[in-house]
Amino acid sequence: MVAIGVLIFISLFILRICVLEPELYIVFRWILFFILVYGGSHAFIFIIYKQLFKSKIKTVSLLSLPNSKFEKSVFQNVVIVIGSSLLFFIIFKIMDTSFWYIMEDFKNEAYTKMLNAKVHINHKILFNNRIGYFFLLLNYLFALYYMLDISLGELAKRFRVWLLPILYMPLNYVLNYLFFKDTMTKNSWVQLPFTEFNFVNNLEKYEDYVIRSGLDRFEIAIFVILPMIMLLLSINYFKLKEKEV
Amino acid sequence: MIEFKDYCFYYNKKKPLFSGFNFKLPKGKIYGLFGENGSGKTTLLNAISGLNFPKEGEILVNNYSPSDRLPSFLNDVFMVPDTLELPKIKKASFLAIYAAYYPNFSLTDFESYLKAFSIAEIEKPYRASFGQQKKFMLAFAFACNTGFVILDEPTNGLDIPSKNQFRKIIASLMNDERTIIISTHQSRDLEQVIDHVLVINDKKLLVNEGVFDITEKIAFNFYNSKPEYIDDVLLCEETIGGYKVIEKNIEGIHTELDIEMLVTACFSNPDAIINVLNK
Repeated sequence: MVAIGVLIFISLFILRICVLEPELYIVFRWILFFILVYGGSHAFIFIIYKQLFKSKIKTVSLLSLPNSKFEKSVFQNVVIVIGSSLLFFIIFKIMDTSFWYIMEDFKNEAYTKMLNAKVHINHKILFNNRIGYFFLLLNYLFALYYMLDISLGELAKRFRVWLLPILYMPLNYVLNYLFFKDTMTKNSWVQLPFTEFNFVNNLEKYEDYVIRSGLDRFEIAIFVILPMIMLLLSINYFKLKEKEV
Repeated sequence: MIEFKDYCFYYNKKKPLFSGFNFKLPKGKIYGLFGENGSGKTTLLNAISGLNFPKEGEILVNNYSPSDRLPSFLNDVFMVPDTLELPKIKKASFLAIYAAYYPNFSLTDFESYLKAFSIAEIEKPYRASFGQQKKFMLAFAFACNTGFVILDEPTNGLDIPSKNQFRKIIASLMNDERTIIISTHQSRDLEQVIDHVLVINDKKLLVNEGVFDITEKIAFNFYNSKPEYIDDVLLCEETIGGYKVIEKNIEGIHTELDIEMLVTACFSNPDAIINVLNK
């Protein structure tokens, strides 16, 4: 699990280190994108596999149900994989939006502008703002509780399973602040996956710009989320077929 | 019919649990499965239910291979494991979801079994005690009216009145088409209902006999003093007021089966048991 987490971090650090000119970024876009999806998929597969099969008692109940392996696989994945995936992204978005409001001094216009255009953006550092800390902490606690509550098991049992992604987000924030605060714009520290990467102007010829991955939300759903879910469905089907108690 | 053909299973290849296991269990009986801890009772039950796969050989249950886990096989088998974890849903939801899988499920039977076990008022079974959850699951298992009912330590956690009810329900369930296999250490709870005894010892099925056949060959007696003759004695245990003795049934009089004594004799004097039962 640690290795998978490291893989995800490495992929994101590669994105951060490469302060690319827009033209060059487009060339390497898919490679970096693939690393992120690959690492993220592996992390999620591991988490879902552990959720499905770590309890022998539940495995007995699942395997002895008189329906086909495909039906069992789909049922389990609808409940756990898809629900967890959607919830994960929703929580990520909540935290991202919350953090943006902190950074932009709670102004909605700048956020809207940010989503829609390549613009020069001035940022005020509100990192020492106590209200900001409280708001951020509140959102992380909310996300923590919500992610743990989605399972049917006991809180203590699920804690370890969700620990890695929960630690990943604040750690990502801290590391970006420590190492890349002069490279990346502040709103990049907690950003939507697969969509936007924001670079500070380090060269005279470019202004601050927003570089999108080139994928809109529909494309993300079709080319990223759907294949990930199909991959997980397939893997869980064959795991179910082989599973013994 | 349950048939094991050259069945071999192991968790550790160097220490096989079963090797070259061959036996048949005709339908229409209540089988009691006994053995020491770690002898493979639960493994056998899991094998019959399709929860583990033979390493070698094959198992046939009504001509199905359990490891295929076909729905048409699974909806005629219900296994109640020794440890349960009920989903966190109400009784009505549980029935709505799970009863649909079993074509012969009877709601009337289910409610009558709940009433017999005195848990009819429980609406959230997942919040009930271990014993109550076990009773709930047993009631559901019986109400599914499957051809095979497999129970692993079913009386574990049941109170005394419920054990009585359990025996009555088991006896009422039986017909020529149904097979019930019960694995238990609580032999006294089920002596009255079992009609075929299976004892696993040292990776073999040491005993595979009907109760009538056992009591025809072996007598279970109680004496006030220790018997002096030893040739025909298979096991002699001192108890309160005298001695429990298992011996060859020379006189041909059927005595009441004492499963606990029989199983103890299987572990302490297996060769003698085999000799007597195979004559």
